[in-house]
Amino acid sequence: MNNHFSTSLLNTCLQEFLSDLDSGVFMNEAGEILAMRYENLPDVGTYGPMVKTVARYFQPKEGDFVLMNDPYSGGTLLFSMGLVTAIQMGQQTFYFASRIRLKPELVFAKRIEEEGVRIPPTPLVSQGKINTEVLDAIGANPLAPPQFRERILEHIQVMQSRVQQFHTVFKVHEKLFSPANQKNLLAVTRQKVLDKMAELPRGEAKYEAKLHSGEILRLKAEITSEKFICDFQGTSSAQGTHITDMIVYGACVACLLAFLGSEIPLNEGVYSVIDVSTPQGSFISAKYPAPLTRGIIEGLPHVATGILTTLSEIIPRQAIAHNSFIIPTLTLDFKTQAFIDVMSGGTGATISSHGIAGMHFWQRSSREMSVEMIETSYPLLILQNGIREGSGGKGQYSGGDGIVREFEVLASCEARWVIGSKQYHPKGAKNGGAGQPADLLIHRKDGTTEIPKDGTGIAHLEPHDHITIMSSGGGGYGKP
Amino acid sequence: MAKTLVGLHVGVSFAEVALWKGQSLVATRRFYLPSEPIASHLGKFLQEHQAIPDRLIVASRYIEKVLDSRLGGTVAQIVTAGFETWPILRQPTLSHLFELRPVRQSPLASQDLIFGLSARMDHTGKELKPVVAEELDVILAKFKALGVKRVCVNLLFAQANPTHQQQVADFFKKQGFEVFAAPREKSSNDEMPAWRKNLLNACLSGVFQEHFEEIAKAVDVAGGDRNCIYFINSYGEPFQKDPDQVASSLFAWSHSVVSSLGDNDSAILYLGLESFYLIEKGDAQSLWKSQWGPIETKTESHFRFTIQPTLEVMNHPLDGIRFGDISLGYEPGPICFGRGLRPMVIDLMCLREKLALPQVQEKAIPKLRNQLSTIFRNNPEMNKFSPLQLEKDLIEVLNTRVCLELAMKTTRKKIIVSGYFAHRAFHQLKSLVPDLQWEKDESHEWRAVTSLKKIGEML
Repeated sequence: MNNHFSTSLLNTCLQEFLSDLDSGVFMNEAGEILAMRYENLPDVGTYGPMVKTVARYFQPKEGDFVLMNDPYSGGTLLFSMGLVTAIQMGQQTFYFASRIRLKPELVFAKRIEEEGVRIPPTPLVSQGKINTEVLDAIGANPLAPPQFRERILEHIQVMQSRVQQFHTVFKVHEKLFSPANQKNLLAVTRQKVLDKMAELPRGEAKYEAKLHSGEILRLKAEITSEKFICDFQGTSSAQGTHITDMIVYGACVACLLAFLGSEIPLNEGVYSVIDVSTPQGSFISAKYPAPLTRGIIEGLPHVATGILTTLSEIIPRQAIAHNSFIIPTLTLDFKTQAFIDVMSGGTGATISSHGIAGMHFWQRSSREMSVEMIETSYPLLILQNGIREGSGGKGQYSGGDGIVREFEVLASCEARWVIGSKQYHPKGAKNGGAGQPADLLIHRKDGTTEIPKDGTGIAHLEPHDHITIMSSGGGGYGKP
Repeated sequence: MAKTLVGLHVGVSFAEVALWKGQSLVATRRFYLPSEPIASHLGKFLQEHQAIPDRLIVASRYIEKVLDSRLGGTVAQIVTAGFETWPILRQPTLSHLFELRPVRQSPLASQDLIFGLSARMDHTGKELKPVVAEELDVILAKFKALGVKRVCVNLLFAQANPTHQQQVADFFKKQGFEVFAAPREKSSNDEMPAWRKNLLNACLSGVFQEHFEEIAKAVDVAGGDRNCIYFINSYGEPFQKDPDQVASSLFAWSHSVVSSLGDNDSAILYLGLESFYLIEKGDAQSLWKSQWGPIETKTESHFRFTIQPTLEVMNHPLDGIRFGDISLGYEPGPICFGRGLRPMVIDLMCLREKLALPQVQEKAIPKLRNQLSTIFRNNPEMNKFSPLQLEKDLIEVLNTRVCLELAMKTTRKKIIVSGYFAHRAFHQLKSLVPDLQWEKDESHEWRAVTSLKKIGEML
């Protein structure tokens, strides 16, 4: 088989290997990403550092699994657990990592440890033998997500089965994984990116925004013949919002990929054309023990919006209005269980298309729960669940609408929400209207209505009180 | 007197028929549907064999041909009030990659024809709000004004208490509408797969009726009684005119294939003329993972391979030579049939070893080689290799990709290869994944139709 087919087949094989997972990465011994399947924005920049950290300190062998979620070693939000294992093929070692999202719990705290259980890279399985003591100890932590133990064990099994299938199929295809073919795959991908970039106008654009918590985000983005450069010099220090530089780097990669189109596989060949500089001491270069939940939930959408806006300016024929900013989250904490609702907003309109209602731009898997499942599992009655009509910005192309969901609680509970600042109207582009911000209302059973002013809050609800949560719409494009 | 039994497996472009008199298999034949409608093919076959069927058992996926087009222009839906736009939000996102214009799968029917009804059950089946007659009258007036013919009734918790769903269905049936409100699985706890099932049944109902008429015409010509015709659903149960079984009938073929093949430890690699599938026998699933999202339909576990027989072989600006993403089907057809102009996977297979199909034309082969050579020549990376070598490489890529997906998806160690291409591909596939146990289906070409005999005998 000629080199071209071998390289293309290697890419297909790797994509297929990761295809049934929500997210995962396949890397070689040199620490190069050969393939990645991402689920959300933080995945793009963190998988590489996660595997490199584990490989450097633990050198796992096939049959070993290392667990971690520490955002300062390549993790993301603390309820997202990463597992890293190795695959031995002849003389070569490959690394395979995948994440599993446990029940989300969003806590805005002063230190990372107060936001959940922070797990540094921890060997969990050695030569097939599970260290149940470690697993039980982590699971016993009051901040550990529910079903921690069961879900981790389940995911280890899924990954073990993948590795076994890998050997079954590649026993006679070892040559596909030759170092030369890997090198070729990365070189071909890099060339594809450069070819695509050559079709784009060269130029630079600047962006500046102030976050609700007071930080200033400054970005100068530039497309040259060989690089996409994102320079965040001038970005201020943190005043409550912190993001790690690896997540910011991933956002730059993801934004460029979105502009280049979907035909390019994500591997080291893509990363090699992107340069990002984040100033030391700024809020986008967080250091331990800074908390990160607010940064990932509220700050990261700002960073991504900034990058998309500069790219829209450099490449006007692909311009896009602002997407809805954050994913509103509502937690209803009943005595024995907690219901957590995570909602998507609308996407921004583009120069040639309307935005999409109720779809998170940076989330590639839908997690909309069945109404019947919610009502069967929790003391809740859902009275309304659908598109928040008219919430997308007006324009020649209108922004995607948000979602509206109204609950009647059937037992008393504590409600907690994170909906972002009500000052954030996803902006329209080229005179397009802004999308409506996220919102929340509480209708008490005595007929009174409360409209909380802050983007985060807590309220006690009595049986038959109603709570309505609305996600924001995307910005519109062009004059209505 | 020995009973006359006919089995008919209908695909989108090919159909296979088998005729038994008593226990004896009298004849089998394959029809090519783009050249002549099924009524004509089947009518001639029955007349030729002087067969008046006592039973005609049909496993058909013919209506699959309309699935890619937007369906059901006049299908309306009645849903629980407050959830009118919920179905669109549950449609799957099409790509798992970041893109500027993410796309959600279009729904099966128009969103403008969804109407809310305030009637409500809770999860235990307790009535929270009754059906209000005035609301039904208002919706009825709208349906009449809009020219609606078919109505789906999709109310929350109809599995816990179907009273409302039935009440609304009866109301619209009395008014002359075709109503789709299939009983739900008691264990179901997700409304959307059941709602989609009603919707798909409604959207396909018209095409299904036309298809039934076509087969019935052939029975008329043979002098038979139309009541001898039975379709089967995805778990092999026969039905005659049940609109709630239409979606399920799409998988009758796979039941037909697996019912007489292997055991529950085996997987079937089905390499048919129209599609390549992996079916895990004995792994019944209650949901079909369709392009519109999961649909409540009991089937054996299925996986449709990315490689399919009618994918185009093409030049791609970024990837070089590759296979297309969408099956082109047999209309106009592959080049080797002397019909199409775009080379397909089946053309490559035909070059390697001529297919024993009457549609294959010897004189089309040079044209096929020319078309492939043009594709190879136009690719700067490939034009240095000989066309023969490239053809060989492409076949190797095909086989490797099928094996790769097979090994990644199957949970079984034993693979039975069936379908038209089974014997051609068997040795190559076996050599690529030697760790699996491979077995050939000796009746591979006619498997989907010959196993219908057993069902006919039970009726």
